[in-house]
Amino acid sequence: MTETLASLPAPDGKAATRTPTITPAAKAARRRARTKWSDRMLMAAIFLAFLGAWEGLVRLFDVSPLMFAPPSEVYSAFVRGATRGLYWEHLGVTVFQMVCGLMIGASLGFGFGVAVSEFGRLGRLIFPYLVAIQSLPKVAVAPLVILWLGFGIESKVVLVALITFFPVLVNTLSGLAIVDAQRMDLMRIFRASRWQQFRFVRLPSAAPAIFAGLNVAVILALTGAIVAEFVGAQRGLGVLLLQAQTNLDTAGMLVILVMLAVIGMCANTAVRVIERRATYWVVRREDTP
Amino acid sequence: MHAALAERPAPRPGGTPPLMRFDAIRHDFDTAGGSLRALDRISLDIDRSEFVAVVGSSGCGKSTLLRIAAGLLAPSEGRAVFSGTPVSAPRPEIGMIFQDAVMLPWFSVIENVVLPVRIAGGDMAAARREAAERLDLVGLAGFHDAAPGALSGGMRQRASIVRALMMKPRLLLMDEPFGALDALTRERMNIELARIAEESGIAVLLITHSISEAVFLADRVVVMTPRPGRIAEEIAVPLARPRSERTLLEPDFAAICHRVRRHFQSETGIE
Ligand SMILES: Nc1ncnc2c1ncn2[C@@H]1O[C@H](COP(=O)(O)OP(=O)(O)O)[C@@H](O)[C@H]1O
Ligand SMILES: [Mg+2]
Repeated sequence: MTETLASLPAPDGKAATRTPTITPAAKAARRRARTKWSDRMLMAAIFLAFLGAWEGLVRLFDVSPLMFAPPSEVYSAFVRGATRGLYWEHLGVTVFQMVCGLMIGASLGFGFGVAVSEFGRLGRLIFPYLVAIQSLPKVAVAPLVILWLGFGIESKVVLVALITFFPVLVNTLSGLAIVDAQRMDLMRIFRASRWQQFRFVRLPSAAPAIFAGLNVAVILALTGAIVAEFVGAQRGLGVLLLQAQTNLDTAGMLVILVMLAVIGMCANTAVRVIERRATYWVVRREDTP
Repeated sequence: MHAALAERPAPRPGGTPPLMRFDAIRHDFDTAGGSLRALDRISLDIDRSEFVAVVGSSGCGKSTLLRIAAGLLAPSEGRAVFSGTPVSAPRPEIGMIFQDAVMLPWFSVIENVVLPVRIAGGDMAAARREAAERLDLVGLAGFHDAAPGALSGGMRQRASIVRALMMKPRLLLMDEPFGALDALTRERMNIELARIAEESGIAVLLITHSISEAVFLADRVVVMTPRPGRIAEEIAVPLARPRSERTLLEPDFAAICHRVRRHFQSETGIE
């Protein structure tokens, strides 16, 4: 019976190392490490080639500095700004708004999703309103929210929460809507309470869907924070971006864009890391990025 | 009503009720095409420590009968009575084994096995010790902390049997538990199940598609008719216990198998 084990994929890699048949797993790990290393070299090469092409093309076609800037200019603009201490406060404000808003919006989305799916009547009563608000472009509410809460951080946090609420809500609902009849029978046979059924079966079953919602929400959170800052703010990378535009500082604008890309990537990666840990049992393709 | 009364088994001497009694059970499902009669006039007793196997073609209501016995489904008419009290909801004395083991993938094997105790709020340390011992006994030493997905189908099913035993049931309901296994594993599991049932004295109601499996394991084989499911015949299996590989070679074994198989001569879907 043990010989079949080596050929089976270990769901999280942990099981394989704990079982006696370690050799094939270790071999696979070494192979993975090798691919990782060569992948990294390749990624570095592609990145350098990309920078070179960008720099070369801008210089070759003599693009006006008002329209676009080569990476060398972007870099020196960044160094100039950084030595003046221009970025950190704005960066901090934007990240804070994004993270705070996301945490509030995702928690509420999850909470409402659970409440709506657990208490069917409540769901039927409030669902039309949720649908109505969901079909509204949330950034369109920004002027109103800023009117109420002012140009400070609060209005941005509220807007980010509003934007991130829905993808998490919708995915929580659809995740909890799927019930495996046999697993529920098992819970009933063990005479599990409603809470135990939720905790041991329904929530873990819904977790992958909930995380899919969170992956969407994290990108919307950054978009929401920046757009809200465009509409009216005193601090934040969105403000800085508009200032750079007013000063015809194209390199400065590109600096902010690169920063936003990096923030987005970090946030996305963070959610994926949490997802992998929280849903460790989900078998994923090894080559998913 | 009259017919149902006539078919009811006679009360046994001494007045002790059977462990499980199906009392004139009828069940209709509401479907889009109207009412569908799945079970009709099912009366059947299972005694303490008795092993009863039910064979019947697909869709004849075997799973429905088991769900009624488990308290997962209320019959349209009649009742299931466990130890003298009607079954209206699942109860700890009645365990159930599903066809595909139903291990929760987010728990390790041992966590799955102790889950019923965790749900019941029992002593977890003792449950873990007991589970570890039992898992070792069924050949799962070294797999306690493995993910269920890393086990073969047979190993998973053995873990699920251990899980059902954690509640110390007096009756084990098994719905085609070995149907998804290959023939060799299935034979090994049959021998193991015979041993567990004989040693523990737990009564078993086994549903199976395999006539030889039914005859090998059971004290009594119940043959069901196609829709609506009725009891066609109850066949006693007086083969000696403990049952082992040698049982399969006995002439009586082949004779009883043949007697069960006659019911399915004109049908497909049965081995
Ligand atoms: N929940 C249900 N709703 C409607 N019909 C059902 C339901 N469950 C089972 N049936 C029908 O009842 C009959 C008996 O089903 P089942 O007990 O699962 O049969 P078996 O286990 O013997 O294959 C089948 O025809 C099936 O289609
Ligand atoms: Mg069935």
